[in-house]
Parts: sequence; structure tokens; C-alpha cells
Amino acid sequence: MMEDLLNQTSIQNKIDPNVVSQILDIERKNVYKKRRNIFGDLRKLIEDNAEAEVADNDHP
Amino acid sequence: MIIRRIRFDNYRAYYGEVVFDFPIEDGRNVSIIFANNDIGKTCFFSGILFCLYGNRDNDNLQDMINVNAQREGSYQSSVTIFAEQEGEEISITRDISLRGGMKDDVSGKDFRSTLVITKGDVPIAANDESEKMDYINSIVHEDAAQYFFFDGEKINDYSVADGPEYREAIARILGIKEVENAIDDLKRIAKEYEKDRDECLKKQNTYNDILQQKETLESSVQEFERLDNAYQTEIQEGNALIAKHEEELKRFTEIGEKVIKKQELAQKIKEQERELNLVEVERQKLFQKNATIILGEILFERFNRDRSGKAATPYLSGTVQRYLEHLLAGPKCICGEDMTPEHSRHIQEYIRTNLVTDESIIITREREALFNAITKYLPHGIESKNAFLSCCETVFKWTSEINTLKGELLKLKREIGSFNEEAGEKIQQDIQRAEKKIKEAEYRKAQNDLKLYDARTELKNLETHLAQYSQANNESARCQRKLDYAQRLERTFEDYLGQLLEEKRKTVEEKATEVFMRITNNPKKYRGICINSDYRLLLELTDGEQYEIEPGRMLNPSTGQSKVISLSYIAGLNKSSNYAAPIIIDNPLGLFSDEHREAITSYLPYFGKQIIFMVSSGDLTDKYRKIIEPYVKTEYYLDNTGDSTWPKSTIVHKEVY
Repeated sequence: MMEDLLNQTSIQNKIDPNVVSQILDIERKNVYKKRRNIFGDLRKLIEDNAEAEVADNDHP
Repeated sequence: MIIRRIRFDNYRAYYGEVVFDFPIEDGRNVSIIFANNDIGKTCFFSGILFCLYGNRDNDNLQDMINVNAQREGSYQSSVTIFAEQEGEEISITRDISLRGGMKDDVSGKDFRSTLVITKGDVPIAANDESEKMDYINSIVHEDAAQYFFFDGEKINDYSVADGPEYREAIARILGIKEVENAIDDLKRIAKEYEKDRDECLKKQNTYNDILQQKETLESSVQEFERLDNAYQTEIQEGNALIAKHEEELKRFTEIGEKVIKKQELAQKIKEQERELNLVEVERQKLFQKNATIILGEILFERFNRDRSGKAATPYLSGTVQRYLEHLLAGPKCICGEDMTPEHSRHIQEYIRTNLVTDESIIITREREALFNAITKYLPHGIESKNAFLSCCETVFKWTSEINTLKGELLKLKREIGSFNEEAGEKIQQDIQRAEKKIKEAEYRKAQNDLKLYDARTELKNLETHLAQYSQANNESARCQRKLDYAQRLERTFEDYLGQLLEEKRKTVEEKATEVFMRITNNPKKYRGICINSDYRLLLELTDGEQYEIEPGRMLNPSTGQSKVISLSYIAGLNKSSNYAAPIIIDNPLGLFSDEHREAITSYLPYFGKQIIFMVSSGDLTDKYRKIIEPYVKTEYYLDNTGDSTWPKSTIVHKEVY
């Protein structure tokens, strides 16, 4: 149910639900850690998908 | 996590090794540890917290070691939890030991605590305390532990709990923390992208400035290049003019050279004539001074030559004359040939020439005497004559040279003809002027070249910058895209969090209300438990009013009711939690009324998958034991086996159902 909610919210914000799921997975795996070295992974996800969007728009 | 076993070794009240096994099976998920006061109920509870999360800052590690054990020389203590976590056997051991060796007088500072975690007999992060704690926090986060391991006598605090720690714990339990973290992280990343984009835009402004600079510079370069061409043309024209003048001058130069040669010749002739005059004067002087002696010497030499020639001729005596006359008369000559008229003529000529008379002899003898007398003056005469002749030779030589030079001069004069020296000089001046102009043009060109070089270099630098900034321009668009994406993600998670909170809140409310309505002794007064956006508890009364429990509020529920509310809330949270951990309660029935005790005891088996609680026999009387007995798998009875001041608690009885 919560997953559906997440997918729905993602689509409403024009975001690929997979990306949101991946980010949430990263956060879940690191939520208990004192040192969360996840910014690199998050940035990569964002940057790859932001560029992928441009590519998709250029070549629909 | 399901706890399989807990082993205490000289931990606080527990003397020696005390091991609790906690098996569970369907329908029997409760373990009870019976102990009276000061025997080890709280030690059990604190031992678990110590094992999982370590000692608190103000804990004295030495005090955690059983005093009797210390007195017997054992300064080591440990608590080990053996558990099943996500299908794997794990063990968590935290021990207390002395730093270094034994000392006569030890204090709390001399002890240290060590954590060892094994997963399937393999140690986890042996040298990384932080990673080990991360692992434990992944099971039950320390912040959320109070909702799984709690003291029943103090749970009424939960009903009025407030503040960030409390909120943090709830967020963790409900699986909201990761969403909140995601939002925070995305905010931070978006902020970074925003900063990057702003930097890019800032560069873009610079880019416009640079573009203007570039345009200005390009105009300058064009102007410098135009000037450079103009100067180059000027130089080329100057050089062409010089070449033309030089071509003209070439002829004048050749003539000029002849003129110079003529002048040099004239000068040389002049000098030689002056020298010749001097030699002439010298010769005249010599002649005037030594003319007699020179003449005498000349005469002497001539006479002497004549005399010497005569002297060389043999005199023809009378006897010889007669012999020759006799020979003439004969048929044969003295040479053996026949006497011919030619022979005869020669002999007669010889006689005539060489016949010496007495007068001739006298004259010869006088002449000889005269010559002898003059001979003593002869060296002076020779010397004077030689000096004179030398002068004459010099005069002759120089006269010849002068004549030669004069001949060359005459020839040059003819070659030079109508040479106009002024015209040549004018050409020279024109060349000089042209050269000067060229030098000036070259100087201006050199200066212009420097400016052109600088301008081109600057232009090149600007081009490089522009390329970079152009990249930055693209980069700003890229940053903007990343920022947009991060912000959309952030909004997504914020929206999700809002809905998640609502869902979780509803779930917790439903579950807490369910528990509360089951165990409260006054279900008519309350409709349920509500939770506001800060996770604070609200009581929904039957009239629909929501009542917030605040510390010290007169209308607050009773202490027992508050504990029931808290317990219900904890249960609601547990049931809505992402964590799967046992519920360990120290004295869950303390300070409750009979009604509540009964209700709580009835509910305890439903609290979670595994329930362990410590209780005194007085609190869990037979009445309540009968209620819970069907759910109990193991019972432990602790007692103090020592007779000294300090306990030697251990298991005196164990019951497994």
C-alpha cells in the first residue's frame, strides 16, 4: 500500500518511481548508520536520471 | 530479532555465569523472570541495554562487575545475547575488563568495555566500533529501544513525552526516519545544485562581460593589424625607394670610388712630388758640394780604366819587334798557318799599337804616380758620387712613379668625365631619409606588434575563458536540470512523507486505540488515542473532544490510566513498526490497579512476537499467572545465593512449558 502511495506520488511529481524506490532503499540501508556516505550514490542517481530525461525529451 | 539466549557473567547482581534460554513456539511466546527486589530483575533489563548499546557516560564500569566476584579476584564481566536475526544466528557480547594488568588498587577508570558481534560465527567489523553499533542499530535503533525495552513502572512518562529525541524515536520506529533523511539529503543536494547553478549563472554574467571585452579586443586587434599592414607597407615602400636610390647610386658610387681614387692619386702624386723635390734639392746640394770630387772620381775612374787597360797590354820591346818583323818576312805565321796578308796586317797592327817608346814609358810612369797620388782621395769621391747617384736614382725612380701615377690620374679623369657629386649626395640623403622613415616605421610596427601580440594573447585567453564559460553555460543548464530533478524528488518525498505520516499516524492510532480500549478500565470515557503531527498523544474522549496530556495538567488521567495509555501507545507503535524486536519489560504490572493488571496481563502475549518480562511474585500473583500461563514458554526464578551484603544472584529454578 505504501509502495503504491510512493509510486503515485512519484508520478505526480513527474519522477520515475524506480528512482524514488532506489533512493528510499539507499536511505533505508543507511538510516541506522552513524556515518551515512550516500551522497555520491544519490547525486549519481539524480544526475543520471536528470540527463536521461533530457535524452528522452530530445528523442521521445 | 528473536533472543535465543542471554548469558551473564559476573554482571552486577549475577554471580558467575547465569544463562537464560528463551525458546518460543506458536502460542507460547512469553518468558517470565521472577525475582524479588534486589535480586536481579533490573540487572537483567539493564544488562540487555548494556550489551546492545554500551554503558552510559556516567556508568562506572567497575560497578557493573559483581562485587563478590571482584572480591574473589575476578575483574571481568560480560553480557552476551544470542539471537536470531533475519534467519541468521548472531551473538552480541559486551564485556568489561581491566586495562593492562592487575593492580592493587583499581578504579572505574581502569576498566574498559569491548563489543564483539558475530554473525554465523564470523565476527562483524572487528576493528570498527562504529560499524558494530550500526549493525546493532539496524536491529533496534538505540533511539527506538525505549519502545521495545522499557520499565513498566516508568511508562507513564511516555504519555507526556515530548521533544526531538522522542520524535526521532517515533520516526525511526515507524520507518519515517529514512524518508525524512531522504528529504534532508535531497534538500542538501538541491542546495548544492542551486549553488552550482548560481555559480554558473555568475560565470554567465562574467561571460557577457568577457564577450564585450572580446568584441572590444577584436576591434583593437583589427586596428592593430591594419596599422601593422600600413607600417609593413611603409617599410616595404621605403625599402623599395632605397633600392631604387641605391640602384641610382650604384653608378654614382662606382664613379665616386674613382673620384676618391683620383683624389687619392692626386694626393699621392702631390706627396711624391714633394718628396722628389726634397731629393732633388739634396742631389743639387750634393752636386754643389762635391761636384769636383765627384767629377774627379768619374774622371779618375775613366782614366784608371783606360790606364788599367793599357797596363794590361804587354809592352812590345825592340827584340819582339825585330822578331815580329822577321816573322813577317817568313812564309809561315807564328800560329803555324801560312803567312797571309791578313796575318801580316794583324802583326803590323799589333806592332804599331804596342810598340813602346821611351817617352811612352815616362808618360806611363808619371801617370802612375799621378794616379797613386789621387787614389787617396778616391774613397771620398766614390762616396760622394754614390750619394749623388743614389739621389739621382731616387729622383729617377720617383719621377717614373709620379709619371705613372699621373698617367692613371689622367685616365681616371677621363673616366669620371661629367660626374655630378651633388646629385650623388642628394641620393644618399634620400636614402638616409628613407632609412630613417623605415626605422621609424619599424619602431612603430614593433610597438604595434607588441600591442597586437598582447591583444591577440588576451583575445586567446578570453576565447579560452569563453569556451569555459560557454561550458559553464551548458553546465548551468545541467545544474538547473539536476536542481529541478532533486527538487522534484524532494517534493515527492515530502508529499510521500505527508501521506506516510498520515497513514502511520492512523495505523498507530488504530492499533494503540485497540490496545487501549482493551486494557483501559474506563472505555466509556474514551473513544481512543490520537496522535498529532508531532507524534504527541491526544486522548479522544467520547464526546469527540481531543485532550492533550501535558505534564502537571489537572485534567490529566490518573497515573494508572496514563500508564495504560502509554502502554497502548507503545503497543500501537510496535505493531506499526518496521523493527522486529522482542519486547522486554521490567515489571510491567507495577503500580497498576487490579483491573488494569488483569487487562494488561491478558494483553501481554499480544504485545509482540517475543515477550520477556521481569516481575516479582507479588505483582504477578496466581490470579494473573493463570491468565498468562497458556502463553508462557519459560519461567526463571532468581535468588541471591550469597550471604554477604552484595548479591550472588543466580537461577534457582527454571520451568519450561
